[in-house]
Amino acid sequence: MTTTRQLEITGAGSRRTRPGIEWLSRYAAGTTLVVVLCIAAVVTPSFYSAGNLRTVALQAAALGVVVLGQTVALLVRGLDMSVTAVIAFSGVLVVSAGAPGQAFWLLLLAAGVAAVVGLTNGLLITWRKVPPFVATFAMLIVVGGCRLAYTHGQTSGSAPGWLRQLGSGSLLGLPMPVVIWVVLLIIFWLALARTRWGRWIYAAGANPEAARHSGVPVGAVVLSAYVVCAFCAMIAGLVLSGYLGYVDANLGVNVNLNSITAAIIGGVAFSGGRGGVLGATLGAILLTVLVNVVVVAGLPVYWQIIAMGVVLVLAVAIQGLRDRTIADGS
Amino acid sequence: MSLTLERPVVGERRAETVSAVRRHGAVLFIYSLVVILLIAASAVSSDFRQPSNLIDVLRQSIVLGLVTIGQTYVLLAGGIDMSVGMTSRVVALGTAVAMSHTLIHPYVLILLGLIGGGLIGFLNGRLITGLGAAPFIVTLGMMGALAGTALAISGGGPTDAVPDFFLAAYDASMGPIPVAVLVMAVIWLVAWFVLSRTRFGRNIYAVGGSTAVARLAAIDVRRTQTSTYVIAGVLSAAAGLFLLARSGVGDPSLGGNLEFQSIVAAAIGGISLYGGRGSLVGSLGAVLLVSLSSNVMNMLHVSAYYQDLALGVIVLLGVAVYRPRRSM
Amino acid sequence: MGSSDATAAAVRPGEPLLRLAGVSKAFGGVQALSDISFELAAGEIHALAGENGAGKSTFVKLVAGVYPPDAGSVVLNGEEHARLTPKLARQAGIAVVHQEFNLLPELSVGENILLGALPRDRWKTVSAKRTQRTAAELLARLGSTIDPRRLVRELTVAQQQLVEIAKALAVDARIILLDEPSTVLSGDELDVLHAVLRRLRDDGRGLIYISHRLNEVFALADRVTVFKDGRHVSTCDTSELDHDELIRRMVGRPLVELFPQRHPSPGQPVLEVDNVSVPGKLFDVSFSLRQGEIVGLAGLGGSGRTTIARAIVGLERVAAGHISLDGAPAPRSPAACARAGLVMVPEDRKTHGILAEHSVAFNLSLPSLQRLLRHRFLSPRAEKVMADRLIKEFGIRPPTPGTDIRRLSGGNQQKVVLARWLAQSPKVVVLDEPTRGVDVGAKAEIYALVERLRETGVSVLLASSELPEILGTCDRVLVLHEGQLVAEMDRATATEEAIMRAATNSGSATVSAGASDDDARDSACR
Repeated sequence: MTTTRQLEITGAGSRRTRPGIEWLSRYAAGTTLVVVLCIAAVVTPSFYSAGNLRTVALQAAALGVVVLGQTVALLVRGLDMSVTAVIAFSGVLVVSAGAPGQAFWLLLLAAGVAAVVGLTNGLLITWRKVPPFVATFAMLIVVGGCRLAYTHGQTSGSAPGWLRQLGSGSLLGLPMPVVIWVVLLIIFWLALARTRWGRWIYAAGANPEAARHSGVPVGAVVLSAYVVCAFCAMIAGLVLSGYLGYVDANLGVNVNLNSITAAIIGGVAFSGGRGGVLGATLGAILLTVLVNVVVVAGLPVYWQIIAMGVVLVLAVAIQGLRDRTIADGS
Repeated sequence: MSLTLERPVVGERRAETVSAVRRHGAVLFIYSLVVILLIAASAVSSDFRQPSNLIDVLRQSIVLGLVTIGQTYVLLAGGIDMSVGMTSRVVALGTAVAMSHTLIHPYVLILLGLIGGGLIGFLNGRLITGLGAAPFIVTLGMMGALAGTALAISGGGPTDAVPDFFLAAYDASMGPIPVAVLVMAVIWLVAWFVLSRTRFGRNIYAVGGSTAVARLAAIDVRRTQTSTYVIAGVLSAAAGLFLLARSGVGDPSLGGNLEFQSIVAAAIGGISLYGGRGSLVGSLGAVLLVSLSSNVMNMLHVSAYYQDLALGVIVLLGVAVYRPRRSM
Repeated sequence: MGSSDATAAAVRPGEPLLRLAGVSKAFGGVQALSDISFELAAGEIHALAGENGAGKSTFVKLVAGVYPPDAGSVVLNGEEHARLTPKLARQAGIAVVHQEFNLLPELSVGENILLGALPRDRWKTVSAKRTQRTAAELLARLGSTIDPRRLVRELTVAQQQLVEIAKALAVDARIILLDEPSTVLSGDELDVLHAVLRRLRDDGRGLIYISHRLNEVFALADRVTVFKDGRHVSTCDTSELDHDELIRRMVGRPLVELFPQRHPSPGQPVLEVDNVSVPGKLFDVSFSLRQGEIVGLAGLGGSGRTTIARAIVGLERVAAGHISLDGAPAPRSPAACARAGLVMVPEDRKTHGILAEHSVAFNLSLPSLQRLLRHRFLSPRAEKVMADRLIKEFGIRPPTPGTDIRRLSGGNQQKVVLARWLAQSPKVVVLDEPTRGVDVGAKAEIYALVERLRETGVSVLLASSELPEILGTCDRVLVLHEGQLVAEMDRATATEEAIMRAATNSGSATVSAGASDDDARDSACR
């Protein structure tokens, strides 16, 4: 259509967003986490036993790595529903063909799968203009189907030593998965906050048209986001299968939705361009802690899922209110 | 004065045919796939072309059909409902438990189950329209909460068996055709009729096309959107009850993945995920295609291990030829 | 919709359908309308003329009830409304046909016309037959035979326009405001529209018609009211005026001290546009831009101003011809153009310019990230230094790089968008409507910036709908009409009247380049 030619006059003093909402949307995950940790200290002191904390850390690490990638996909106004399948398939590949001395080739194979999945997702979305949900969901079915065709539903063998080392070894007293997670977190934080690529990710998500006008190669940036996301899923798959020592159909089964939930709770906007990996990581920790506290407290398992659902709806409500005050204010 | 804006088109009828083909391209595509699959499978497999098998295909399409109708309504109004699968699970398990642990008449319980599904949908709708939040996220949260509730109801294991008459209802048939299939056909017809022949139905298209234009035409946008979630909730509950009747016990894993299957079926059937475009005829075609292809793969003794892959490739191809149309 | 019938019947003969008395409206510090009086009688087409920014759009919104007036009264059908709302306006029989259509492309013509009140049968089912019949009747009253069953997206723009007008008939509107309905139409389509509007007038309805095409005003309107800078200039019968007088009333005012001293010293050609065509939008356009030169692109809405700007930086697919920068073919993507020193500042700031939820510094640095890298990482210190420098240099307020850009005024947002590019030290800058929605103070600053750019040897192509802006800043003016370059004037010979004449293609202008066959079409139109 033709351009609007309405006389648009932006007053200098646009109304302020309510500071409370702004604060909530930024620090909700952290605040809730602190509250939950305090409650846990009172109700279930055993949460703080060394063994349990280690478990929490390991679980949070696997989810946390995926959340990093999912956050990047969300930032460019997308989402990735195929992470579950990539986790499981890359796990299967490295575990089942586990002859010694093949580590390098297996890793290369898993990386190849991640690259193909990420590129296909990205191309469907940027080039074929398929809605991200549909594109990545189609990939979920295909990659899941590949895994099933490859394994015939069998639980896959035993993990080779180097993979076990990756999953349950430790470095400087820290569990290996946590080390990997923290290293990746630092890399992602630096990449998003301190590189040109990171700026492009935010710009392409916040306003693709304006980004294009500002010389941002929007298509390539969005494509890269899905490749990055697929690689995160692959790494999580390796870590998880190394930790468990085997791979079955349940590997990573809830990670799809949990990773999106964690990112949203952590203040990443579903509408793109806003939020960051630090918040999303807090979201991942919060989710893991919630689930664990329920178990340690001896509550029925379903409380986990109910708690997650409630936290998510609250997070969404805060974001919705924030967007609304912004829309009113400008 | 004989003024007209119609440009004199040579061969206007041909132009109209072309436009009809373009208008219904997705629908024609899906039905030609259905027909090709039918013919090919009948030629190859004698088991397949047995009438009883064809009726089975229809019966297997019922659950996905019910949910897809609801999902189509929601998508057309510009939303998305991720909680349909868990709605059917909660309603099915809740009804099963109530049937074996209370003295309330089963018919009343069925009715209560449907109302419960409607309430879940209403809650979705109010949260979305009230908060102005993304439908995907709100219904995702609802999905989580319902999954937990389902687990709470069942305790993780199958529930007690449901009354016999309930199972009998599943098996009842008029002549060779199961009653369930007939009822389903009626539901499709009614759903299609409401969407294409009532003000409410047309308002759904208007709201999904542009909430601003709909508002200018004095359409109550919030109520229209909320209603579509209620419809999706009720139909999902019905799907859950049907699954319950089929298996006889409340299976705690029932209804998993229905949300995805219904969205993908609607998308393949030509329903725009941005709202306002598509028709139930396409959704029906997609549901039949899914049910047919899994039946054909069984008949051709395709190993279950390859069925997902085959289905995935079909979906991927369908998606890759997908042409978005955000004209105007 | 029964109420509109009742109100329509209540109109006493002689009483105007609509009367505005002493109406004023201000936004922030900007007075958009001051002390406007206006009358619309039944059975007349009343044209509203004025330059961009004269207050016509505000007037439309005021009558439609979108904005409440600050002072004055609106009298509808003899009834005074202190607070007119969109709903009240609709009930009183007011309909607005916007330049941008409010149609649903995926629904049929009939459904669009009757949307919200589709006719129903006994069983509450929508009657497709009655929808069709009613819509067809309404369309027939407009002299159209569009099949109501067709989808709106299958129609031509002209047909969509008719559907939009039919919507006004469906609610039996007595007062119809048409906001530049003709910009998208041409030739025969215009004749049809005019016939339709005359029919509506003869029906006893009142029509307010806004158009930039002066030929149209004379061909169609019974009376014409001229607005200027938010004030009422004159109202008289069309027959009392001629083209020149109307233009004089629209533009004739002393130029405010808005513009800087100009120091033109053009050098070698930098940008050359050679026989460029964009299908349906631009036909065979050629011109060149020299170093240190400011060239204006004038023309009505839809004449191809924006298309040229977009084509130059590779946002439009050029079907024929070529564009060269410094003698070499210009790159074909905005990113590559930016690297080559060819940048564009887009017209629509909200959708194409700013990232509303990010800081001023983020917005400023977006195209210059390469220069902020230290060992491959962005240096926050370098970014802050750059942001502070640009904020100071361009007078952006508030001078805090960390503020979200959405909190800035329109003028300051625009300065950020300009500064973003000028930090790149480009060779050629294309500005599309650089001062739209910007207050007078910020305008003056932006003009000073443009002049400063030129002094550093940058070439500027400035597309604008505001003639004073073009005359005040440019060394040369190119005038477009329906995608063709119809006139080229230099500073000495260009006047607002001459540009307007060329842009509306009415009579002889100082045509020195790219004369066209438009004159022929124009006379046929009359």
